[in-house]
Order: sequence, then C-alpha cells, then structure tokens
Amino acid sequence: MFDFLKRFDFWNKLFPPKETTGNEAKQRLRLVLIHDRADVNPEVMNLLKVDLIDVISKYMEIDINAIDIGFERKDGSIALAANIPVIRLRNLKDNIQKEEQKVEVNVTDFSAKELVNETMKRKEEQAPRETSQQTQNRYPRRQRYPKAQEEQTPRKRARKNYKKSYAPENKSEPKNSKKPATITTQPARREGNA
Amino acid sequence: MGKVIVITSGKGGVGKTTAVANIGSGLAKVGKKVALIDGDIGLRNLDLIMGLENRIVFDLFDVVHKKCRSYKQALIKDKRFSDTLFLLPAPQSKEKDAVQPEQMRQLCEEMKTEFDFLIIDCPAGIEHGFKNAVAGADEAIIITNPEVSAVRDADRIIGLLEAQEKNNLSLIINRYKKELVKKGDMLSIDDVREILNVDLLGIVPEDERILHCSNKGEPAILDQSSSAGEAYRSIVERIINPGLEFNIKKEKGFFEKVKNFFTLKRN
Repeated sequence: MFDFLKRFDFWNKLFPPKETTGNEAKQRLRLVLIHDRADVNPEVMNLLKVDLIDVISKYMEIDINAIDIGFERKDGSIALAANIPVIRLRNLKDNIQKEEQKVEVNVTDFSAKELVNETMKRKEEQAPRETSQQTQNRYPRRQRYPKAQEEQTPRKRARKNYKKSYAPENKSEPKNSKKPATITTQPARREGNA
Repeated sequence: MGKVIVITSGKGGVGKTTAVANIGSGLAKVGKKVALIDGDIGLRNLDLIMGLENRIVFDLFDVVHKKCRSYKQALIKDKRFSDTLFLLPAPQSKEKDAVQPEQMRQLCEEMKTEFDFLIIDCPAGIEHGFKNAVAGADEAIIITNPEVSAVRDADRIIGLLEAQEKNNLSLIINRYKKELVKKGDMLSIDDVREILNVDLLGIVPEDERILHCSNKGEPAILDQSSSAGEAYRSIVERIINPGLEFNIKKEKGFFEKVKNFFTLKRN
C-alpha cells in the first residue's frame, strides 16, 4: 500500500507545473548575451550608427553629435532605442515627411556577426547604378522565339529546295500576308528537276 | 600530419581537464598516437588526473626555453597504452606569461609531424593562458555545463575563437542531468545549442564515478561502469568519424509508464 504513496510523484511527472526555472534561465541568458555581444563588438554599433545617420539624413537634418543609441530592457524583452535630435525636415520633391523623431526597433535575437554581414550587404547594394547601355551590353538582345533546328533529312531538304524554287520572285512581301494559292508557272525549271 | 585540438571553456571547473584526459585516452586506445599538453601553467592538473604526477622531469617551460634537448625528453609515456599516449606537463612554479603564443605555435608545428592528435588543455579565463593554448590549434572543442554562467562564458570564448579565425568549433555539454531537464529545472540540450549556435559533439552525464577515477588517477573512459566514460567513448568515435549520428536512447512511452504503475514490484 505504501508503494502507492511513493508513486504519487508519477502524477507530477505526467502533469508538471508550468513554472520552470529552466525557461527563466534561458530567457535571462538570451537577454544578457545580447548585451554582452554588443559590448564586445562596439564596431557593430558604430556601423549601425553610421548607417542610421545616412538613412535619416535623407529625410531630415539631424544633430549627429547628440545621437544616443543603445539597448533598453523592458519587461523581459530587449529593444534597440535611439534618441536622435532633429533640426529640421528636408523638403523632398515628393514631400515625404516623417513625424517620428524617436526610432524604436525591436531586437529579439541576433548575433553580432549577422549584423555586420547585413551592413556589408547593404553597402554593396548602394553601389552606383548602371546605365541602360551597360545593362543592354550585359543582356544582348536575342530572338524571342528562336527557330527550332529541324532535322535535315534528304526528303525535307528536297522539299525545302522545291519550296524555294516555287516561291514568288517578289521577296519583299510580308510573310503573314494572305495570298490565294496561285501557281506561278515555271514549267521549264520543273521539267529540269524531274 | 596531426590535428591540434584545444579544449577550452572560459569558465573554470566545467570539465576541461577531465575531457582532455578521457578523449586523449580514448583516441590512444583505438591506436592513434596522441600527445596531451597541459596548458595550465602554474596550476597543473592534467598529470594528476592521468595518474602520472610522479614521473615529471621536464615540463612545457623547459621545452619552450630550451632547457632540455627537445620535447621528446619532456614527454611522459603512459604505460597503460602501448606507446600511443604521451603527456607534456605544465610547470607548477611559473606564471602564465612564462610562455608566449608564438612559442606554443612553433611547438605545435613541430610536434604535429610526429603525432596523430595533439590535445591541449586550456586554462580557464580569456587572458594570456587562453591565448597560449589556442595559438597552435586547428580545432577547438568547447566544454560547457547546462548552467547560466558556464553558457555565458562559453559564448564569450566562442566570440574570441571566431575573432582569431578558429572556425572549426564543436561543443560538449558536460554534467548533464536528465531528470532535472525533464523537470524543467535545467537548460536542455536544445536550449544550449540554440543559444551558442555551435555543432554539438557530445553530451556527458553527471557521474559519481568521475570522482572515483580522479581519486585513483585513471581516466573514466577505462572504467566500464561509468556512464560518463561511455559518453566519452562515443565522443571519441565521433571525432574519428565526423559524420556519425547521435545514438539517442528511446524514452519509455506513456503506456509503458502506466503499465509500470499498475504492476506490483516484488523486491
């Protein structure tokens, strides 16, 4: 009978309580590692800062020396917060105006390496655009519907030659024009071929 | 041409020296020619774990500063393995800066020609000792425990290794307790892998026999009743055959548990 009491633990195993310290450890580690990796790689934050300045300067004039970018911790999640003082909005031709002066980006999981790779990719994308001539040189025009290579059997060759001899002398007529099937008589040649 | 593997962790006490002793012994047992190098200058322990502490004549400092003719004089041959396992001990009375990374690199280059595997025991920390141990290495095995401080330090070490262009990294999770993971009180294997993002080499369970083996000065891999020893044996197999799949034992299904609940156990 006392065996039954020992086996009571079995129910705890079947229906374990949801509050586990293992999950808490995982969350804490995730957050602390974001901080650690950013601290160890200040170059990444600098690259990010430079890119942000580039993008935002397109739309508004900002005070570059007073920019403050860092991580903020809120209730178990982490956010990248940037405080960027704006001097004035730029007047663009299509009148894009940004109202937000504070940029908030939620960063849940990243590695410093990935961030650097992304920045490098973006820099490559900003390479100078090529002119239309350059593009045309890269992709030369080709026939839309290239003619399929037909098998040249002797019969087909003969038929082709027959067709050629049969064709009208006026070759400037467009291909798709509909003409009645007329027999242009050149009997002498036919007799020659036969 | 041999491979130089450094076993590092960042945090101390996670099981580096034990891992070096066991992996080295395992490789020597299957016939590979292995040299173990204790990189923990000033706090040597590899000789104690291997049970060779009474046979030290020359050490790493003597080799590097040419106080003996060559490294062959300093190497201690382990008699349990037929001419396949050697140990190069660390000096006990010097400090970490007694040896420079460049000297370690040269020594590894020299020893590589004679041995199939060179296994270096890295000291805890990220300073001079770490730089020394990692200088000559081709591959690195990172040891960690499924515990917050160990994983945090392992992450730092991985960052440092990648910065030194050592990209051949693998992970061993040591002192793993299956029951605690099931209860949810310990970080699981997947948690650690997700956080550290390094290929997993093996999982070594917490084992009382490790203490017995270190008391006796015998690597646990030679102990047939040690579960950690068995884990190290499979790790050694994976080092030799890199593509080997993990052998995960099947868990008891729900119905088996119910069956066990209702059957009377006769003691």
